[in-house]
Amino acid sequence: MNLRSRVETLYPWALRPTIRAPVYRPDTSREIAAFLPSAQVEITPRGAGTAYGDICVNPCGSHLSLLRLDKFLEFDKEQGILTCQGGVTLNEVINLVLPQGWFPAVSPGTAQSTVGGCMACDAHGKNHHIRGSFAMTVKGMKLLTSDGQTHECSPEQEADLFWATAGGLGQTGVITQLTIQLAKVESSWIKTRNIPTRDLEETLALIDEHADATYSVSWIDSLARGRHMGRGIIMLGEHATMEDLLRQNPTLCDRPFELRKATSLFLPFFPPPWASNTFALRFFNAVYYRAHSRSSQTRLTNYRSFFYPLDSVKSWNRIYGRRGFIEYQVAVPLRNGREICLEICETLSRTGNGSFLAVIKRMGPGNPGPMSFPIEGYTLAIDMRAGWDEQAKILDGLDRLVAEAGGRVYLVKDSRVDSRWIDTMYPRRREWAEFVARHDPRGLFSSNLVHRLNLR
Amino acid sequence: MNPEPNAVLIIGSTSSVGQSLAAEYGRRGWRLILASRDRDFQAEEAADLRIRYVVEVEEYSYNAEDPFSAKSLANALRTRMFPKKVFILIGDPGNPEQDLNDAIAAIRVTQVNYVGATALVAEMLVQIEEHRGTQIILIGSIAGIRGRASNPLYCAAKAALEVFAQGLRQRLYRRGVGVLLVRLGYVDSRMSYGLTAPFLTLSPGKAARQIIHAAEAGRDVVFIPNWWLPAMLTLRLIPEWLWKRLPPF
Repeated sequence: MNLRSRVETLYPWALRPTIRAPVYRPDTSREIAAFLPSAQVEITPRGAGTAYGDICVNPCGSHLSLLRLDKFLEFDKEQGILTCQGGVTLNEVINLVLPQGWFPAVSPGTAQSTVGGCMACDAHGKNHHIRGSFAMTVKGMKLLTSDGQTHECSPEQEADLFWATAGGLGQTGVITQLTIQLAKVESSWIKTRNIPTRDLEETLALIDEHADATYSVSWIDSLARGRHMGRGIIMLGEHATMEDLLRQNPTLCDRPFELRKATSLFLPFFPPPWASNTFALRFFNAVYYRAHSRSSQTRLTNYRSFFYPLDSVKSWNRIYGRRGFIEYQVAVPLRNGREICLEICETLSRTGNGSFLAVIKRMGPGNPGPMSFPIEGYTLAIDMRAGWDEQAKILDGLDRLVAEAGGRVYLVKDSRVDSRWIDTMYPRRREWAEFVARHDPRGLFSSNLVHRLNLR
Repeated sequence: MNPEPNAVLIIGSTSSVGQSLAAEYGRRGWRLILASRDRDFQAEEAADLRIRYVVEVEEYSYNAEDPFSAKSLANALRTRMFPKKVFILIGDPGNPEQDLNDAIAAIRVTQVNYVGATALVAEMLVQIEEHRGTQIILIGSIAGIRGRASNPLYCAAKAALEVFAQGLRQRLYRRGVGVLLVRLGYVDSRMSYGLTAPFLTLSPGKAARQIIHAAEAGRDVVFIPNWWLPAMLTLRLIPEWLWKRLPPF
């Protein structure tokens, strides 16, 4: 049976742009291998569609949904090595491996993503400063290139193809199978500690001070001004051991690997604009700050509310309204990171581009992937209502600041950056594009992001 | 003789509904006996079921287009206890416009949708008759209710399956063997992807749960989803002189 397509409404997580386009949905990698060489249109491989940016949509091409490639193929319970198809979501991985004492070694802020998508975006988590990005937990993968050939690559075998795919934005081929290393855990609980900070200076100082914590991330009040600017909550976490359970809540010792179901709450409509205006955001941020600064002692949190707080409301991405929002995430190097973070926070706060969840985090060294986002330093992620020309100018100014300082914008979350900064931000972009062109000479794989930024 | 209590045979295991049925029975801890034409796909599915549900999964091959395939599958199954439930989900509407102009293709549609199922039942009939309490679930289609211009071959094959199920049900009744015919509506499967309107389409998981529910209730014939019952009865009441004048659909 030949592959058939269906026209569907597609959008990235930030809803910009929302399009209607054909989607192919194969069941096996053999179908994809037969399909790719004969495909006459551009193909955008797509997982769960949880990337914020336009990497997962293409108005002038077709999409290849990998959600039916959702099979687990092998699980080594002793070593914690899982082999599965690319369309398996992290939720499914966790539901399988957590009761057996394992957890994804690196996991982004949502468990709805597919493992293939995490690889193609080289996702990072709250433990990047210790464990690195998702690709660094991948021991091997099967990649289908545009000629329908299967490449088995790993950091040892066909390493250049492996690293070009890590954070390769789906341009090298279709990831059909992955082998990942999991991390051993003693329970499904996280021992957390929240530390409130007064200003950005203190936030950054405390982040550095607590760099030995396995999980560390800081929420900041993006609208606080003056001496409160950059005040926030540093959230630290460790996988709770049996001892911790015994100390904090002995009843949990009988069922240390309790799973949490994803809640079924969702936003059934697009809220009116006033729900996310500056006043509402200021109010939300102040309440959030107060609520979290009270609980500064160590306590147990379940893995879902620690790692995936946003997953608790499905379609929360509607909060900023029908026009969607902008997720601005940058990484800046260690040496001038503080000043740039300060400048960005100050500018956005002054111009009223506030956010529900602004997050700052320390990052460890990057990996050999030429397009992989993380670099050693700090990363700052801010979501904001999509504005008009003035906001574009402000953000472009910040892009210049970041690019000139040797930092970069996260392309996976981006829907607006100007292409003139790309080569400064990603100095190995050209080398990567040439390599990708060798594997995809026809330019079969593409996406709106690639067109917009002329990435290849 | 009694059949093996917690074992289920799924012919057409790699179909969307077949996969969901296997997952549902896997969740209940049943032993899964899978048969499909696509061995590679079935191997992936079996690996997944073993990992997710920690159940025993047996893999066989069956190709409805090959008459000898039924014999070899039945022979292979003779070496083990007969399972309590047998699901037969083979079907392919084919490519109606071309199939009607091609004898080989026309025969193929009949073979896949009707002959394949009967050949298999024929090979296993002795065993089925010996095992009181077995249940055979044949997955038909709402297409079998009335012939339509868009795909006469498929409608006819599915209608034949209905009548076959009737005969079989009467024959096996005294042997304590149940025969359930499922008139399945549109399911979001590889077969219907891109062809049917989403609001008419049932997810494979829901379809599987409803099929199992009907099987457990010991039903003979069931529409899934059940709102097809009034819709199809209405269609059936239309007199033929009017039916033939309706715009083709």
